[in-house]
Amino acid sequence: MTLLELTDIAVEHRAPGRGRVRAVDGVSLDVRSGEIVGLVGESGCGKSSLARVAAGLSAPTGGDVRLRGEHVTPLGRRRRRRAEIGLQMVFQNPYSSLNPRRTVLSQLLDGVPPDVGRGPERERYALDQLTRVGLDESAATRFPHQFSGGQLQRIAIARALAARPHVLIADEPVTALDVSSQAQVVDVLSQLVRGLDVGMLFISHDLALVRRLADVTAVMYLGRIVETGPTERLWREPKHPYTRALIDAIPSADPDAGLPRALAGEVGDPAAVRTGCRFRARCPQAFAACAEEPELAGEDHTVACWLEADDTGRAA
Amino acid sequence: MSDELLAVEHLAVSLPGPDGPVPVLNDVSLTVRRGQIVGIAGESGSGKSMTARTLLDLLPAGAEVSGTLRFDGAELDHRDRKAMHALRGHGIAMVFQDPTAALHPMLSIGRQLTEHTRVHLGLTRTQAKAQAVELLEQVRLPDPERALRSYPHQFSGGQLQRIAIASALAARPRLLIADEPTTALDVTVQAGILALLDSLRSEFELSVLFITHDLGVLASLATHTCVFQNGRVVESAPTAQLLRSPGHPYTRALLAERAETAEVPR
Ligand SMILES: Nc1ncnc2c1ncn2[C@@H]1O[C@H](COP(=O)(O)OP(=O)(O)OP(=O)(O)O)[C@@H](O)[C@H]1O
Ligand code: SF4
Ligand SMILES: [Mg+2]
Repeated sequence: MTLLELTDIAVEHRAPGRGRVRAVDGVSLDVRSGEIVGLVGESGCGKSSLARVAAGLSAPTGGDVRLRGEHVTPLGRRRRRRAEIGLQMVFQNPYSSLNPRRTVLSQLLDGVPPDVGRGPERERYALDQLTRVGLDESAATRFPHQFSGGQLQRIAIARALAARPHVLIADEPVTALDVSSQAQVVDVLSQLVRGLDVGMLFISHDLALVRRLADVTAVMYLGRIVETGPTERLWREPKHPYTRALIDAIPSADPDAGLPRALAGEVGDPAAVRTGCRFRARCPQAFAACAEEPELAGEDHTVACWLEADDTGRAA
Repeated sequence: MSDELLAVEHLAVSLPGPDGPVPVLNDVSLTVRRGQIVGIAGESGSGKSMTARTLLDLLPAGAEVSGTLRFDGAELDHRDRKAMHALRGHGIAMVFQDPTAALHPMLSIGRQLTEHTRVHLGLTRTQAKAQAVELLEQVRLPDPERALRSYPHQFSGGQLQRIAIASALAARPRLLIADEPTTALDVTVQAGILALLDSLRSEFELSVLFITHDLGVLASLATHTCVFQNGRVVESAPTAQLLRSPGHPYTRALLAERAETAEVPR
């Protein structure tokens, strides 16, 4: 079942000295129950801007967010408890997303839905969330500074789960952690999604991590999705030159492989006006047709590139 | 002249703990030759960064150190703070995971890249500026003149890491210690930094001690690799050999782990 539907989302920021920045420029994406959708792309491509809209934390400039068919109005417009909206977000930095002066238990209780009952029942429910993420119940009485980064991120996940969300939005949830805690947190997240039948939008600049976790991968470049598909298929048969460049840039442990290939040029400025395919300036395969912007096309493996458009592109 | 630049022999380090000294490094030995990139791989907590900190004299107060350090033919006494400090200014420079930590947010890039050379190498303002431009060109930063007038927040993470490398190279070190310098960066940017280090090595005979959790990063970069686990070197071999026929179960586990996700059929 489709839980979260993003349709043609646009996000614009106004930055002093830069004018309007179109950080997200027409993105459509679905997340189904029990499914992890991975979103990858280079720094500044608009991942976090999209995440905040998807989680109902900010309003899009254009487009529509629906959760189980219902329109999501961002927080702030109408005051409403976060727990009600069925969307929960896990942020990059667990140190700043938890309050250092409150015990773990009291922060978990914030998210417990009203229908859970009274005092003791609520507390039991909160403690169950801790064991779900692999922490001991004794963690409840402690304060954030008494935990490692990986443990804190699991507490942040437990707090998000307490609200019984339908969809979790995780924006670089393990980037701030060291490598061994990254693996733990990723395992916890994937077990939860499978076990609880929630959906998850998992955002990361780390392609290998997304490959390990996501059922579906979406590749974003300068505010647009340029390719989506079942993760393993997209890895084995990448169609967009940008996806291929990202994969080629991953170092191989084969001593004969040579240094990974660097993609020419820099990520463009989203504030700049451009015409044609947004990847054109860096694309090794650009040709005449690329002066026009290609649309995302295809069945479950979709790509926005004229090389893939059978006759239309090449004839132009 | 031997081509050995750095030798670490039987290094052991303990840090003060609530119940007495806690050993963090045990019998660590490694050698870096001139113009060679040596990799240190292992998980967090395995002692990789502690080794770098010992070489840079950045250990916390109360640390107990034993073993032999030799740099450029001379034996170093790690208790001789002055000698260790001088080494940090000239012989050895460092680059960390977070480039913002190495750069002052309120000072222009130009000021940060010229200060050291004016004070320590006695260059004039014009000479120092020319050298800074050259360094930024070496790290392939577009428009170096303009970059010198800019401030850290005006650059992306990958650009800042290149500036941090330029700033580390300003003191004309012979050894660069790079501790997870690409871990926080996009793979595309990482590829550029790896190529940069390799060209600095071949063009300027720079030696690099490259610390990483990812053996793949070392495959085509490092001549020799040491694998750390729990404060010990569990395997040390020419990189190609180590990757083709890993001898230690831990090295095999590290490789198997990344084979699942990071290796693609090419
Ligand atoms: N609040 C804001 N005001 C102005 N511009 C912004 C704001 N937030 C983001 N931007 C700009 O929008 C673009 C997209 O930023 P965003 O943070 O969504 O990217 P990202 O993909 O999450 O990057 P990263 O991987 O570095 O987190 C960037 O050019 C950024 O500078
Ligand atoms: S449309 Fe053209 S420029 Fe864009 S990715 Fe395809 S080939 Fe490259
Ligand atoms: Mg972001």
